[in-house]
Amino acid sequence: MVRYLLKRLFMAFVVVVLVMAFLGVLVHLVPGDPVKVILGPRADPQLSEIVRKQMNLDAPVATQVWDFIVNAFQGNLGQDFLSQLPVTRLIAGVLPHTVILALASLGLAVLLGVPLGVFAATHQNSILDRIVGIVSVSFITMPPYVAGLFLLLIFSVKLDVLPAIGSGSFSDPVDYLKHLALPAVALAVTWIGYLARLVRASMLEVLNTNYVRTAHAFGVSERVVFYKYALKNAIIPTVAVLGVGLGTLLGGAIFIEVIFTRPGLGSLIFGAIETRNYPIVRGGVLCVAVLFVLANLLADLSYRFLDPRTRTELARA
Amino acid sequence: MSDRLLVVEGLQVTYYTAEASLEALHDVSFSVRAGEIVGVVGESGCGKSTLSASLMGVLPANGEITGGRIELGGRELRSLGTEQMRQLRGREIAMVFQDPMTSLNPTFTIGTQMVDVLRAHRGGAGGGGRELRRRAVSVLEQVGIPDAQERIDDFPHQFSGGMRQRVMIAMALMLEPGLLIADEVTSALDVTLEAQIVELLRRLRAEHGTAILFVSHDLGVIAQICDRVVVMYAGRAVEEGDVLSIFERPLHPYTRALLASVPSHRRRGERLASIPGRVPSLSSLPAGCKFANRCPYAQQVSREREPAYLEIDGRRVRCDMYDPASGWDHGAAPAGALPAEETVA
Amino acid sequence: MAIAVPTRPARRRLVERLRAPLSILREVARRPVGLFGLVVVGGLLALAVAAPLVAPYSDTAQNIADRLQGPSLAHPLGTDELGRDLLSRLIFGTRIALGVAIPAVSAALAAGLVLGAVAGYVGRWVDNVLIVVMDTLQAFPAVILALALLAVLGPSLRNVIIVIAVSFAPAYARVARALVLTTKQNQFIEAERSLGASDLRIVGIHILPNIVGSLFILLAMDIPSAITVEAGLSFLGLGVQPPTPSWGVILNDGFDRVRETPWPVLWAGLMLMLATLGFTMLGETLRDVVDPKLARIRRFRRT
Repeated sequence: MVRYLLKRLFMAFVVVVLVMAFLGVLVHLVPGDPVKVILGPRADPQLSEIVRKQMNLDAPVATQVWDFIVNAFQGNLGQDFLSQLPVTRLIAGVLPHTVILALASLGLAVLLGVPLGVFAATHQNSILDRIVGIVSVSFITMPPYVAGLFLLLIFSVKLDVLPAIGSGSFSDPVDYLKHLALPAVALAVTWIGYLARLVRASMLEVLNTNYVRTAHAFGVSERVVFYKYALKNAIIPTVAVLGVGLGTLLGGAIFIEVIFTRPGLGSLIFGAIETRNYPIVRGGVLCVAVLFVLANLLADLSYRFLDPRTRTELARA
Repeated sequence: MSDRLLVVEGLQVTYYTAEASLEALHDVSFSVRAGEIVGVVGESGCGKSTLSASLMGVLPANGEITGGRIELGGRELRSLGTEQMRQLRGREIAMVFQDPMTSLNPTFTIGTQMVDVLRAHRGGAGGGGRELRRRAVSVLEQVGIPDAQERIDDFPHQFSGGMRQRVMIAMALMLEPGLLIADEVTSALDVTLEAQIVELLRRLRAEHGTAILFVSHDLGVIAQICDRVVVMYAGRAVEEGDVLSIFERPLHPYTRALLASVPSHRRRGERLASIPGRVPSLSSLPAGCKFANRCPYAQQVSREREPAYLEIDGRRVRCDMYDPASGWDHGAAPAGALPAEETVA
Repeated sequence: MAIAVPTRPARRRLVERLRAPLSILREVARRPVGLFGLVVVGGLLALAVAAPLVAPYSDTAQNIADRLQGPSLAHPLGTDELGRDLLSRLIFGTRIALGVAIPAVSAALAAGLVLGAVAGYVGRWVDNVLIVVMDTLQAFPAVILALALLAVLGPSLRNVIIVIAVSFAPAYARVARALVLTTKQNQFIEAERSLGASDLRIVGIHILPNIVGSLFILLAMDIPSAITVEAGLSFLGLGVQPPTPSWGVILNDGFDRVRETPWPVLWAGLMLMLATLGFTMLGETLRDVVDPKLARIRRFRRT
């Protein structure tokens, strides 16, 4: 088990290094003077000089990439151009809000999506099943920013029950939750639809297996078959999907944070792109990628752990 | 007659598909006495599995029993409600499936699965979890699983194929059903394992008095273990009798052809016999006798209407040759048609 | 005894496959979900092509006096903050949505196909390099990768196409590579090669037609994603730039004025959902229809 874990961690580590190398070399992949790529064609000459020195753009590309990687592992992602603050500190300041948003959305998606899927499976082909199906599909086709805008429209603009701007502060949890509500729901919408469909399909697939037939043949009641056997077997592929889910949630978080003017990694990156504050963009994107890799790793490990077939293989490994 | 545990009379099962309704079983009749081992033999697609499923009440959603009666211990199964049927399953009639690999839930230990079955039938009465576990362990020991105490907490994939089959038999026996349906239980096993399972089933009959309906396409195993045999073809029962008579003096042409096609060390150097033609598909069954297109003795009368299932000498046959009222012309028969004095080696 | 290598069936199969798309379309139309998808996609394509003819106004005609209005007889969907007719803007927006999504996904398919197939077929270090590059690209959520690339390329319609293509290509490369690897081991290929068929011929006639089917289905499913990503990037102001009427741009303009009028946001959002729904339904039905057919064609090949 430990050996497998180490192997996966090492693979994740390699991917992170590759990501860092990619981000380090990115400005050089575009034709033209790197400074102009970063600051735009009409860049202030003084700022250009600062940028050139700070990012060590005169050094050979390989050195730049190497320095970036080494620094990144030490927690140094450079300083932003405009205020000269360490990028790491800027990111750390806003990261908790994004993580909370992502986890809240994921939690909501699971809490609402999974029961919906189970419900649809237990009432297969009934009117309720079809309704759930239509709702799921409309949720899936709603991109997070559309969901966010619609929710903003209904609950903030028209009904004025929930705030539209900011995140509130941690010192007032209720207020914080009020500010979290719309963003979390907006981000969760797509995944509620997707999970409902996935869980329904998994459960129906399980219900057609030979081992469920065996359980029936031995007189085990419908309820036990459904909620104990079928559900557990269907959950396993769902967990596998959640890892990828966290990644797309992180991607969608940008839109939500912009729409609701919420502090977070997404709005930080977005603001930096607008002001051409490249170190923040680079550092922020790196942070998202690392989180994504970790989320996938976690999902993969839990998936393998949950399935007894792979669990015993792991134990032997 | 009163010691007949299972009576199946005129059973008819239909499957409904998008294109058509298919009659998978037609006029199937046989009985099983307490403690008897009855074999059901036939090729793939003859309806053996449908028969097992309908006896257990686990036909797929698009299947339905459309005629006949099934009596288990005097009770008409078709008249039972879902809950009553559920209580019956496992307790009075149990089934062991063909493929042990996929018939057990891979994400639960066999102990959990066995206890779940016990719990489904005992309710709260009959002891708590520990007591149920003890029962499960003792049954596992009975079927010959070593270290049952530890292995009960293992997952299905940690058992070998033969062991898994034993686990399934153990599950089937836990509630001491009067009738056990063994559906192709040896088909996935090699010869050594097959012999072990056969021995196990024999022991069960001897020690518990369990009646067994042994469904298989393997004549060799049928000959070893069964008291009586029912031969099926295209959803019909075509012959029934005690095992010796069936094997030494088969009446129905299909049975004879089946037996002739089994390779024998006594007929060395001869070509392997096979039955010409193919089993008719359910969607295009011919009128009359379903075996007629492959039968060397078929005449026009046989092709027109289905032969009746008649009793002869304590056996039953569905063939015009043995039905004096059928109009089958004995004069026109090829030599050696009727096996009055003939034996098949 | 020589192994009979059927090269004729391969050529015959190619011809049969050209006739196949029509029968596939007919089968798709038979199913209600597929029919819905076909109607929507067909409608969107028609709107994109015939936009100047269908739209009541041009996409840039401003009329400040009529700005921020709700639906009316003159403007069935209302007007935006510059008095432009929303219906017309949305219709012209179809051109942007499809004009970005289709080229982008096609480019991703083409690049991924070639790279993956080459890597799978050639193997060794070429394959390893490809895996490394694809892994790196796939370590980012698609939107984030797109943002990073746009940060250095600068926002424009052309760059959005490039960026989406780069984000989607790795998936195609992997599929192509995997299929090539399994086909490579197919004994049929061994037989061909032992008779001296060149590598190019093997790839062109035997390997490619087999995998093109699955790749096309991926394409149908990726177009709605591409539409959504483009609209999202344009919404952030990092993609298509105003006044070009991308649905994302309309959403952004609407967002700025959401407290004064809900209509731009509402209609643009619904339009996006409709387009996504149509393409997704079409893609899923295509997959259901084509999959069993693929198996049938493969069986024919083996005789």
